[in-house]
Amino acid sequence: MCLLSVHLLFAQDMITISGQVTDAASGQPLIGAGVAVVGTTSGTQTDVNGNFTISAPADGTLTVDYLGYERQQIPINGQTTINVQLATSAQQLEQVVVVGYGTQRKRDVTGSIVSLREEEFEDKPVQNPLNAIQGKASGVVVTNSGVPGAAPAIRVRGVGSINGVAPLYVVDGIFTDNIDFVNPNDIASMEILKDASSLAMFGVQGANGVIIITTKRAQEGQTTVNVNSYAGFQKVTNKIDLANAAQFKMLYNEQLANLGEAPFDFSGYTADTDWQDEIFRTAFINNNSVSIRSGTARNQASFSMNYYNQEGVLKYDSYKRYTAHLRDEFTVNKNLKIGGDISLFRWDRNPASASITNALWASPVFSPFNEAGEYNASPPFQRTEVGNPVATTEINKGNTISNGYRFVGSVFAEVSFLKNFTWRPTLYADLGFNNERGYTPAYVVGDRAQYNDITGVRQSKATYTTGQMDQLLTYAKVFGKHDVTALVGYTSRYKGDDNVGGSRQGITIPIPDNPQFWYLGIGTPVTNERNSGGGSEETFISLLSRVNYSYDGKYLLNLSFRRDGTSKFGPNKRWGNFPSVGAGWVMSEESFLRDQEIVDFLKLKGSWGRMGNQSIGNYLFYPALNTGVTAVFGENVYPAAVPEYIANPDVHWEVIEGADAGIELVTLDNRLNLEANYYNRKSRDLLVRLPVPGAVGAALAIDNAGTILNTGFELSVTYNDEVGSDFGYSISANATTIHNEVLSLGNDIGYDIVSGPARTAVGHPIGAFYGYVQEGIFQTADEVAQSPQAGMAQPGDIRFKDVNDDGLFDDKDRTFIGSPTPDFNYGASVNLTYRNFALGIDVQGVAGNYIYNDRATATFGILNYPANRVNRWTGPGTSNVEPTLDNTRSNNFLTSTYFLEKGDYFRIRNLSLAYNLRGDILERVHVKGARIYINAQNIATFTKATGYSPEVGGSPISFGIDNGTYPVPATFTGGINLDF
Amino acid sequence: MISNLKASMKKIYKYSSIVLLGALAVNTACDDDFLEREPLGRFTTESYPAGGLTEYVYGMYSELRSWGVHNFAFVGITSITSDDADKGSTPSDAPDQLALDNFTVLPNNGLITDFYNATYTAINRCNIVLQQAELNKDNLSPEDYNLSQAEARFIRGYLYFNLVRTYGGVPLVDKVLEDQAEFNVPRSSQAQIYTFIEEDLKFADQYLPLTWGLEYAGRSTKGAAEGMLAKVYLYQKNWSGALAMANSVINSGMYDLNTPYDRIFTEAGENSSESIFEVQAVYNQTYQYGTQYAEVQGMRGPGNLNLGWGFNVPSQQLVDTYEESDPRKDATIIFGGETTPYGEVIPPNLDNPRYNQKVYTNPVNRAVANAQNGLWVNIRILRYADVVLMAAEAADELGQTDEALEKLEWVRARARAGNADILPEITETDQNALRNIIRHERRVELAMEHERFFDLVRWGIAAEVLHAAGKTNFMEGRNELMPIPQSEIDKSGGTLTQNPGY
Repeated sequence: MCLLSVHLLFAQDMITISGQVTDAASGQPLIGAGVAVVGTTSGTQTDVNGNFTISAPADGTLTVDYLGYERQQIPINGQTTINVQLATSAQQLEQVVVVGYGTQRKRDVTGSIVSLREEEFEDKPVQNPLNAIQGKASGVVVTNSGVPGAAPAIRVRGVGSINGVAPLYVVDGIFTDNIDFVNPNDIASMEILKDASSLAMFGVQGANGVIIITTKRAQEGQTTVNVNSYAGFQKVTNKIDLANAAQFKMLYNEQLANLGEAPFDFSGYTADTDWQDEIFRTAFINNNSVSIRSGTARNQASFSMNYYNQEGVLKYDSYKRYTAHLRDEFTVNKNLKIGGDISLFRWDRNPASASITNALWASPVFSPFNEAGEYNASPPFQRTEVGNPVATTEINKGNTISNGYRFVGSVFAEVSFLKNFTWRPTLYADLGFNNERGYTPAYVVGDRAQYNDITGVRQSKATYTTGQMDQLLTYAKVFGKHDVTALVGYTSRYKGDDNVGGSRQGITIPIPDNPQFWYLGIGTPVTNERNSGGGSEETFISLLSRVNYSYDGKYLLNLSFRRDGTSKFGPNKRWGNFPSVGAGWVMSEESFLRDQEIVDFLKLKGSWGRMGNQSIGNYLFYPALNTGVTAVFGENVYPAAVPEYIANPDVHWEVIEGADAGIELVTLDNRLNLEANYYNRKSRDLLVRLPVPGAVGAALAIDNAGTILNTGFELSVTYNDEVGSDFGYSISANATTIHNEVLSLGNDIGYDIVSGPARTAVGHPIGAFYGYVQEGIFQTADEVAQSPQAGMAQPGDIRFKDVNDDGLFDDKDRTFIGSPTPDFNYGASVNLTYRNFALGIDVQGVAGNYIYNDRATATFGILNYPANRVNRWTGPGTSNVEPTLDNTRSNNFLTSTYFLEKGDYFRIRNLSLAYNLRGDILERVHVKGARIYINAQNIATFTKATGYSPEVGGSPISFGIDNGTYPVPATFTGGINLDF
Repeated sequence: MISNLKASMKKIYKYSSIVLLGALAVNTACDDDFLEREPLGRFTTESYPAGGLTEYVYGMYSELRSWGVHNFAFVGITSITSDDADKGSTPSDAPDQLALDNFTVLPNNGLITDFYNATYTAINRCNIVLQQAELNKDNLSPEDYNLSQAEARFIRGYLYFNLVRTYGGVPLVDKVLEDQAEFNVPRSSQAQIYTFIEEDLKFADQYLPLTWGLEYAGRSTKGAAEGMLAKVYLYQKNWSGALAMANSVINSGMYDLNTPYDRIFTEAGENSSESIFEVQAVYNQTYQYGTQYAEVQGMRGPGNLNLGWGFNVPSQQLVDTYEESDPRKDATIIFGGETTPYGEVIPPNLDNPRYNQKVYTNPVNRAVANAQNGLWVNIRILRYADVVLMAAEAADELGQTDEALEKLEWVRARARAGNADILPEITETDQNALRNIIRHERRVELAMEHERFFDLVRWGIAAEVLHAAGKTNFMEGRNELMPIPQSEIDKSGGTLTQNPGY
C-alpha cells in the first residue's frame, strides 16, 4: 500500500531516461538486459544494440540486470542519459550458497559445502540430476545404476553407517529422499553439505550428507522463455567376455572328462549365439523442456514442463516422465511476502523382461529359434537351471505396466517485523500414487523345459503421503562491525504409506495377452485369489536454533543446536540432542595481508558437530508378528503365527560426530581457486541388523552396535583464464582420500558381521573381503603331497597360502584381502571456449578398491564360461592362475583372491561440444540466445574389472560384490537450447 | 573501543541466549503423542488377541515344511550318504550334494549350513510356544497348558534328534533367546543332548492324546512321542527302554500293518493306519502350502514326466540286496523302461537308470494341482513298520528271540501280501545271525527313507559297508558326523569348536 502512495506522490516528476548497457570488460553491448525502476512495476529490456529508454521519477533508482552479471542499482538524480557497464559475477566469493534454512555468502561459510551451478545440469543427458555430479565434487562418490528411472547411490565422505547411507535431498525447502520429480533443466544450483556443522541443522536425516537443490527464479524485470531439447542413443560399449560356441564345447567336454564322464554329443548344436547381443539393444533417449520465467519487482513466477523418454539398453526396458512445475513468489508489501510451489510428475515404467544373468549363463551352442520359428529349449545339461534368454525376454515383453503420479507442493509466507525479525512459516505436502498391473502368460518352450500352463494377473497400488510444517524465526542485524543472524525454528513431519495388492488366475478361461484384460476382475473367481495390504507411518519433531556471527568480516562463528524426536525409537530413547560449532578466520582481510597482490582471499576454517541417524524401518522396537504362515493337517489349512524378529525396545539414535578443518585460497587475480579440507567422521551406536548365530533360531530386528571412522583429505582446485578476447579456458580438479575403519563392534556382541565374502570386523574397513590367498596352481601330485593341502587337493587345484604358517590348511589361513571402498577418488574437468564454441571434457575415477566377482562362483549348474577359463589348467605348466575345469572341486570355490578384481577405474565421463549462435539471424526470429550442442557420456572406461561396470553398489555391509550388475551405457546425444 | 566491544559482545550473548532458550522452551510444549506410532495392519505379541497360543502351536508345524528342515539337505544327509542311494541328477549338478554322496564335505557346504539354521529356526518356534504357554498360564486350563507344552516338546525333541544325529553335540537352546549377551551358545555334549531329548519326549508322551481326529491328521500324538522315544533309546543301545516304548505303541492298538506296501507312499496312502508321524502338505488350486520333498527326488523325464530334479536315486547295491521276488523292490524303485502302476511308461535312457518310487505321484493329482513337481506329497517321518522292526531289533539284543521273530514276521507277512512262495518266514534263533537278518529287513523295508545312514553309523559298520559299496572316502572317526557350518564357527569367534577331521 505504501509503495503505491509513493508512486502517486512523485507522479508529476517523471522524466525519460535513455542509455546503453555494455559489458564492462569487453565493451560489447548486452542485449536483452533488464532495466527497471525500483519501487514500480515498470521495466524494459535493452535492444540489439544494448540501448534502452524508460520513464522514471527523477529521484528514483534504476536497476540493471543481466544473467551472469552483477546487478547494478543507479540513482537517477535527474539524469536523462545513463550508460551502464555491467561486470560479470564470476567472483565466486560473492556467490550466495544455500545452507540449512537460509543462505550465506560463500565467504562467510565455516563449513564444507560444494556448490554446483546450473551449467552442470543443463544439456547433460541424465535422467536424474545426481548422475551429473559424478566427479565434480570432492568427498562425494556417485555410483551410477544403468537402470532407467533409477537414482544413483550417493556417498558423502565414505560409508559412515551400516543401515541407510543415502543423503537427504532438499528441493526448494522440501525434504525428500527421491528427486526424480525435478527437471534437471530447472536447477539453478545444487549445494552439497558435507561437514558436521552444516549438517547439524538437519539433525534427523542429515547424518549422511545433505544435497540442497534450488530451482531457477525469475529475474526482476525479465521474462525469459527457454526451450531445451536433446535426443540421442545409448549403447553398451563393454560386454562381458565369455566363451564362444567352439570354446564352450571344448571346455564342457573337458569338464566331463575330468569327472570321468563321457563327452556330450553336440551334434544338433551348431549355433554360436552371443546371448548378450540378443538381450541388449541400442536405446533411444530424448528430453524436451520448456520453461517460462517472469519477474517484476513484486512478483516472480516460473513455470516449466518436461517430457523425458528413455529406452533401456536391456530389452524391453522403458521409462517415460512428464513433469510440470509452477512457482510464484509475491511481495504483498514491504513486510509480507507469500509464495507457493507445485510440481506435478507422472512416470511410466515398463521394466526389462530380459535377464542379464540368464544371458551370461546360457550356453552359446544353441540358437534362440529353431527352423520352425519356435523357441529352442536349452541343452539338457542346463535345461532346468537356465532357460532360453530370448524366450524369457520375448514371452515377458510388456507384461508389467507400472506408472505413478507425484504431487509436491509448498506454500510459505515471510513476515518481516520489528525491522530485524522475519518469521517464515512453511507447509509442504508430497503425495505419491503408484500403480502396477502385471500378467503371467501361458507358454511352452521346447518340450516343457520352461512352461507355464495357467495365466494370471496381478494388480497393486501404493500411496505415499508426506506432510511437513516449518516455523522459522530469524533475527538479522548489523551493528557496527558485528553481523549477527540468529534463527530459531520448529519442524514437524509426518510420513505414511499404504498399499494393496492382489493376484488371480485364469484357470478355466485363460486370460488373454492384452493389457485391457489385466485387472483382477477377469480371473476365475473363488480359487487362487491372493491379496495383501499394509501400511506404515513415521513422524518426527525438531527444535532448531542457530547463531551466525561475524566480526568485521574477518572472524566468523556459527553455533547451532538441534533437538530431535522420532517415532522410530521407543519412548525412553526417542529424543536426541545435536549441537555444532564452526569458526573461520578470513586472513586476507587482516591488515598484514590486505594490501598485497598475491593472495586475493585466504580463509581458515574449522568445525565440529554431532548428527543423528535413524534410517531404519518403522516399528522395530515393537515385537511384531508374522501371521502369514499356516499349518496343514490332512487337507485342512490352519492359520498360524510366528514372531517376525526379536524386537529391541532399546534401539536408539545412531550418532555421527564430525570434525573438519580447511583452508580456502583465491589467488592470481581471482583466477586460481583452491580449497583443501581435512575431515574426520566417527559414527557410533551404528544401527545394524546383525546376523546372529544360527542356534538363536530367529533374526534380530535391529541393534546399536559399533563405531566406524571415516577420515581423509579433500582437495579442489579451479583455474580459469582468458587468452585474448576470443579464447578462454578453465580447469578444475578434485580429489578425495578416504580411510575407512571399523573401530569397534559393540561390547556385548561376541561375533563378527559376515555377509558372503564381506566381513565387517574391528580394525578393517567396513565390508572388507575376507578369504584365502591364492599362490598359484598345483602342477603335479608331488607338489600337492608336499603342501599343507595334501590329501585335500589334486593337480589343477588352487594352491593357497598358508597364511599363519602352521603347516596346516584350515580356516585360519584366511585373511583380509581387499576393501570395496576406494582409497582415493578424483575428478577433473576442462572447459575451453573459443569465440562461440565451447568444449568440455569431464573425467573421473577411483583407486584402491576391489570388486568380488561373485558371478564366477555360481556352481549350481552348467553355465557358460567366462573367457578367462579358456586359459584353464590342463597339465603341468599350462597355467598358474586358472584352476582345472571341474565345478565339483569345492576348494576352488572358496572365498579367495582368485575371485577378487581390482576395482580401480578411469573414465572419460563426459565430452561436450557446444556452439552459441548470436547475431542478426536470431533477432529476426526474436530469439535471444541459441546453443547447439552434442554430448557423449561414459565414452570409455579403463579398468581391470570384468563386469559391465566397475561401479558395483550394494548394502553398507555388503557391497562391491558383482552379481551381474546392470550396465552403465555410453550415451550420445545432440540438442538445442533456445532462449526467447 | 574495548568497552564498545564488550557492550556489543554482551548484546550478542543476550540475543543468542534468548534465541537458544526460546528453542528449549518450545521443547516442553511439544506434543509427544504425535510421535507415538503403532504398527499398521499387523499384530504384535502384545496386541494379538488373547488365546493366541493355538496359532503359535500351528506356527511350529508350518516350519516343518520348510526347505531347510525337510527338503534338499534332509534328503542328502539321511539318504544320499548311505549305500542305498547316490546323488542322482547330472554329474555336475549340485556339488554340495556330491560332497555328501562322496564324503568330501567341507564346513562351508551350503546344505549342512541350511539344515543347521533351519532346524534351529523350527526349534525357536517350539520355544516360543513354551514361552507363551508360561505367560498365559493363568488363562489356560491345565489340560490346554500341558497339551501345548507337550506338542512343542515333542517336535523340539524330534528336531534335536535330527541335530544330534547329524552334527553330534550341538548348542542346547531350550528357551527363546532375547538378550544378545546370551546368543553365543557353546556346544553341549551328545550325552547331554540325548538326555534333553528324552526328557522332552517323555513329557510329550505323558500329555499327548492318542488321536486328534480326522481334521487334525498329522498332529503329534502319544504314539508319535513313544515311537520317537523308542528310536532315541535304540540309538543309545538302551534295548529295554526301546522295547518297552515300541511295545507301548504296538499295544495301543492305534496302528496296524494293514496298508499294502505299494500303497503306503501314494497320495491315497497319506495318513494311513500305518502313519505315526507325517509332515503334512497340501497343494492344489485352492491351497498352496506344499513342500519340495518330492520335487527334489522326482524323476527328470521328458514332457509330462518332468517331475522333479532327480536326486537321491537308488543304487545298484540296493537293487542287489533284495531277496528274490521281494515285491518291495518294485514298489521302492522306478526302473528305466518300466511301466508304472499308473500306466506311465518310463523311458530307458534318462539321466539315471533308477529313481525313488516312494515320491512318485499319481498323474491325476498332477492335473488337479496344475503342477508336475509333487509339492503335495507328505513326508513320512515315522511309520508303524519302523516301530515294529525297532521292537524286533531290541528284542533280539535282549535275547528275547521269540518276540523278535514274531515282530519280524509281521513285517514280512505284510510285504508278502498273501503270496506264500516268497519271503519265507525267518526261523533263525542265533542272536548274531538274527541281528543281521533284522538289519537286512530294516534296510529293505525302509529303503530310500531316512534311516539307512544313521543305522550304519549306530551299528558301527559304516566304514566297512560304505567302503564295500564304493564310497571309499568315508573316514572312520570323521564322517560319522557332518561338520559344524563354517559360518557358525566364524560368528561364534571360537566358542563353537569343529568336529574332528574337518
